[in-house]
Amino acid sequence: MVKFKVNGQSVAFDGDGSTPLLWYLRDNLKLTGTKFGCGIGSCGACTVHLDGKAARSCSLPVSALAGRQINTIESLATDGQLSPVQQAWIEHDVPQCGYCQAGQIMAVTDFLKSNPNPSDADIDTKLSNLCRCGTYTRMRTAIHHAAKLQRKAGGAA
Amino acid sequence: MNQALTRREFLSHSLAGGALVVAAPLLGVATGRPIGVAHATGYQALSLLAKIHPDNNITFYYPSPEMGQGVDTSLASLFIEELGGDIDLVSVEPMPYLIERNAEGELQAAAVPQFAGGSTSISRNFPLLREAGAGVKQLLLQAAAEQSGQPIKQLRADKSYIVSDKGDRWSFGSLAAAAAQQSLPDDFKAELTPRDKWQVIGQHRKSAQLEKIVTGQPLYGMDIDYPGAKVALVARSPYLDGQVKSLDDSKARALPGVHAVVQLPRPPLDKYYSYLAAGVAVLTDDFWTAKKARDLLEIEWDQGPHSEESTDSLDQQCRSLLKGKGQIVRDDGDLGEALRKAHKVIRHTYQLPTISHAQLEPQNCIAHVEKERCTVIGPFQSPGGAGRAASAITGLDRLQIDVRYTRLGGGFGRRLSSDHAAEAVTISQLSGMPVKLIWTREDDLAHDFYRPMGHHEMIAAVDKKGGITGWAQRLAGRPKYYRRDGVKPEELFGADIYVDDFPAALVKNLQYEYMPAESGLPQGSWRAPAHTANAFVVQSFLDEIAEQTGQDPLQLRLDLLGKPQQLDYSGHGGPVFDTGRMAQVLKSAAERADWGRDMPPGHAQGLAVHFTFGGYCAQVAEVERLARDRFKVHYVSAAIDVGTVINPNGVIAQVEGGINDGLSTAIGQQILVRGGRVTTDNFDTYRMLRIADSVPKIDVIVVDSDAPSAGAGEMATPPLAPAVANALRRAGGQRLRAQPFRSA
Repeated sequence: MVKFKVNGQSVAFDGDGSTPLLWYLRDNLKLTGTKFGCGIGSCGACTVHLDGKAARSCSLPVSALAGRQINTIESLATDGQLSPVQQAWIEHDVPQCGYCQAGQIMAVTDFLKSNPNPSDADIDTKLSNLCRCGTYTRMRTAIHHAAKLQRKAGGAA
Repeated sequence: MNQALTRREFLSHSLAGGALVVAAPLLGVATGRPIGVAHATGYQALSLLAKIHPDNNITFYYPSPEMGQGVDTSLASLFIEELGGDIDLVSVEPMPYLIERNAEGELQAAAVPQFAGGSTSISRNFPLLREAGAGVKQLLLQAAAEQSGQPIKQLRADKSYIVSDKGDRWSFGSLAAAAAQQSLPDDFKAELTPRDKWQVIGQHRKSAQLEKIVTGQPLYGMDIDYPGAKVALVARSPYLDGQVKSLDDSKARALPGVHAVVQLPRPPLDKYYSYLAAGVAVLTDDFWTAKKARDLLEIEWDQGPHSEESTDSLDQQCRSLLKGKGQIVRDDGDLGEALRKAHKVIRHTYQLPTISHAQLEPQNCIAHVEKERCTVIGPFQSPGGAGRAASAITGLDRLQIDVRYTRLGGGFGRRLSSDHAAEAVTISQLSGMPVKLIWTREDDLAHDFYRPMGHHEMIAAVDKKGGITGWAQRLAGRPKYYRRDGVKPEELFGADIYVDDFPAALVKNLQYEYMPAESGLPQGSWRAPAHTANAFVVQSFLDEIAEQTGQDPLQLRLDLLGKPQQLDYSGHGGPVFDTGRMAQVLKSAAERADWGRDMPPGHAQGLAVHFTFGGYCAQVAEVERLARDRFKVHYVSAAIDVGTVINPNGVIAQVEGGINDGLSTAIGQQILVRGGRVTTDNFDTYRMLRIADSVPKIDVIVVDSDAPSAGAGEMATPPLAPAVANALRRAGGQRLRAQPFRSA
């Protein structure tokens, strides 16, 4: 039995501990915002927050999660208020097919915590999620915009 | 076409839950009647088009599947423009897929085509959706006139209100019930809003489903839950056209949560594919159990007829073919004479690899075969194709197949094929269970309808002044039409060489020649299909001619295009290729990039232009050479002319994405084959663009035009690779004649 928290709720899993978090979220909890893209931690479509840090859930066995806090895209907006990154994504109309975007947003949200005022070089070296539609150009603009929104809101919290 | 749409039958409407429900009739497809011609026998079923709710919100049911190309947004604009609606009050849902059989037994599909491919969603729907909007506006006007006693001529629609000259205002929602009681006059003829009065068409609109996407709502096939569905994974033959020799599934069956194991026979080799490969399916409660069960299958494979095939053998085959003679598919003037008389003959060979679609949402499909019906739900570019596949497998009538399409996590042509539907339906039929078929990324890369590889030999005869007097393109490659039903051997070239493509009719002595290669790789449509290959070779070769004759690449192209003229174009996107429009996008892109400006050492500009599917796109890429085969694209200026633009923001997004897609493909993508099996298995070896290599700055000039609307999903991908190759050469680098540009 592994106990941990998903989006603030306590959960207990007594199945096969090798089950990747991604499939526990999708198949057991029906939280389908976290996407399956590659299964080898390469594309980042499955990015969630593990104790606040971006993690690729397709390669994260549930057995490693005891006592940890998981947050998914479904928890990013609070009280109906979209997060700065979500707002910036809407402002710049980033998504095309949209399949990778939940993962992108989760990755960027964590990235901005440690890089509240990122340079293009920071973006290039620290973000690697795959967007098959090639929305990177708008994404870059939106990342800078989100950083500005967060600074305005008073820090990178 | 418009005549039929003036008929009162065009719009049927009713009141449901207080909303005005707008539906469009079905039209004959089996008879090949043009879309828009009403059928004399009337309609039993109607395609749901829109609902106007009492609270004045509008739901628009977009008819073409949405895969990121933005039709959920642009098609709504067409309807709302003529309705006089407020676009900000609109939410969108996919239009339920519907067909019926008329009195003569012919299948009829929706008046508004439910299909996404070939950049046709916009052009096919442009008149239909506008006339539908105008019809509904008429009903609302009639309702308001009747209620108020004011003459209809003194009423008009304005942002989801009917307003009168006297100053009264009634919301569409408040008129919904009364409008449902109205009918269109027999002689009603839609008066469409003239272009200079458009309020919605031509305006920047953001994607209609943005908020759902950024909050992670379940929109995709992969997200759909179907009651009782078992998750199915398939161990497919890793060998091209291989099959199961022996199977021991005892360990897999012993795993708790495994409900069934079924074998999919190899599809016939002399027919077009239903599903792609022989395999063994495991049906389980969830994905992870399925993955483990699949790994426990012990299968010995019959390696099939292509076990000797490799990437190298296919390249070798093409080199040999190019040494011989092929099928001359276009032959203008006297090429031999032009080559003999030439001041200079320039000759180079270019190579394009096999590439995969790699749409980010792996293939998936829900299927439930029952005695008298079959349900198929998934990411389909062609819901009709999914229905045909299900009908062919089950023997059920098309009307017994319930097809539902979801948003697609990318299409790029992959889901024009309905093999995922065929596979899921087969598994459901064999197992007797509802199934949710999921492919892994490894499955997806190893089993695809790939963009064909090819070797292109280009030959030019040039006179003393640098004028091009002769031109030949000789292509040895894998035909996309291989194994297609009804395609004769002499027609195989048709999807790989488009006989009217630039510079046909502009060079007097010109030949296109084709040599089909043999391979076990399935081939299909990949975003702007063969244009990605042909633009690369033609536009690279033009720059080689410019370099060897001391001409400016832009001027050489403009000289070749000559004075504006309309040339016949028999391929998709025709019937006309307009040299003036191509010259215009070239000039616009060059002007924005300040073509010819001084660049720092190691930096250079390169340009390319292409005509695809009715649209023209030119690009200037600014590239910096780095160590070895590395480079950085700093900037691209792109000019695009896709005729009348519905949503400029959508066009710009497609150009930006198309540019990054073109770069991604050119830099690193290649499907490798060894021993008759695809060895490229995931994103670690199939290298796709990440943000670090993407183009940080792109300027898009949307050329304003009155020409018919052409859609914008595919035009921007082809010019990017040659623009980059040309820039790298001008920066002092090697001429890149083979993709991918970067070695593994």
